[in-house]
Amino acid sequence: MKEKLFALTDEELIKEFQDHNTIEAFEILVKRYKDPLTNFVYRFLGNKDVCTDIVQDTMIKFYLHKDSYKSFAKFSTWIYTIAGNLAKNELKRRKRRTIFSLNNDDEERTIQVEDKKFFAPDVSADGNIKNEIIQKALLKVKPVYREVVILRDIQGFSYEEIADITELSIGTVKSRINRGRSQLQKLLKNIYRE
Amino acid sequence: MKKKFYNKEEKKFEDISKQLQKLPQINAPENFEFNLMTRIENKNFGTEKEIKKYTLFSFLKPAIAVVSSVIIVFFVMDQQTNNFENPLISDPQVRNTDSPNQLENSYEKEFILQENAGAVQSNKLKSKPTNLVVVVKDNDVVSEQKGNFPFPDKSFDLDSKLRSNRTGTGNQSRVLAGTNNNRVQFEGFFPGIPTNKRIIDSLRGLDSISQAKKGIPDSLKK
Repeated sequence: MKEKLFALTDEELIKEFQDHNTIEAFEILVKRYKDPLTNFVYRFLGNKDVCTDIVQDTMIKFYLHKDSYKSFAKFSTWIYTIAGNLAKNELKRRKRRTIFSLNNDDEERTIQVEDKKFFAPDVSADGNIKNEIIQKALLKVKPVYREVVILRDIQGFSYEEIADITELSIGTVKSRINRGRSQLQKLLKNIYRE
Repeated sequence: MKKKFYNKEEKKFEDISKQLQKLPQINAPENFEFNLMTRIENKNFGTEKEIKKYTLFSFLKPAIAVVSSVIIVFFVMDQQTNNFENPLISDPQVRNTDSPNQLENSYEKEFILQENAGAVQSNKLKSKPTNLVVVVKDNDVVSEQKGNFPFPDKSFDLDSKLRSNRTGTGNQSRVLAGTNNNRVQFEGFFPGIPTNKRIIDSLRGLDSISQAKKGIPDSLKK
């Protein structure tokens, strides 16, 4: 039974889950999407613990509201929309906390991407630090641009799929991707300067 | 054209795109599925947490503050405006004390007190032919009883009649004929009353509604 389910597409699996409440179908979908969703949410929020919670919540929402999925949409875009909305909510919650927090400023000042003195040139060439810098720079990009840049360049979605996930027009998606990349390039100029 | 523009843009940011693609994949923790399935089995969907957060502390405190302040304001305002009636909206009330009879009664009351004679006047007045009769009762409420018209003909010389009714001259000339009472003076058709400053002041107070609101003077009350 389970082997048969493994062969099914995402849409067929959710149909099976919707029609017969097959928990194995749900488990297979969770297995398929837990890692990509974790990666997407982590790149968007920059916190591993929080991102795990959000992906869990995404899966629970999927479990509870499975009937709200309509078969004409792609399952991947649907689940990414849920995860994206939860991540954005988390970001709003954090902003609210930041307003009332007195100690937050110090935490943000610890790493400044544009500060050339912060990392020596030979150290910044190191892969891990480079990735960390990119991640920090990504978090400094406006959330509306950040989301589409991650979906495009990290998750590898097409413009149409991103438009479905974000519920925007393709033109808006394209312009936001370019603006996001432009912001990112400005933030990382000291690394990629030749 | 637009497509070309975006392709150009893509080329412009090619390096950035490549760097982002090279970023390592972040995977979910190993116990992710186990935790998820445990939560689902226990029906721990995390909704209660949020409800608890926003019940008592976030909503009740400001609500109590608002309600208590509204109650205080309501009672304070209510006490101030309890007896107030908008005179422009409400129907005017007929006040017994405003009637001329009542006012005259008050004068007569004082007059009688000055005379220091309770029911003496009534008998004297009854015996005389005058048609204006003043009746003084025990509780000092005085009322007028109008008799027949005092003049026999339709045409009447008022001046000669008044002159004939007068007795004496000067200050004494306006004493009402037939009363044998020097203190009761006759000013035209009105019975003369010794002026009392307090009563005049109280009458002035009746001129405006606002002063009437303050209360009726005791002398005008029944």
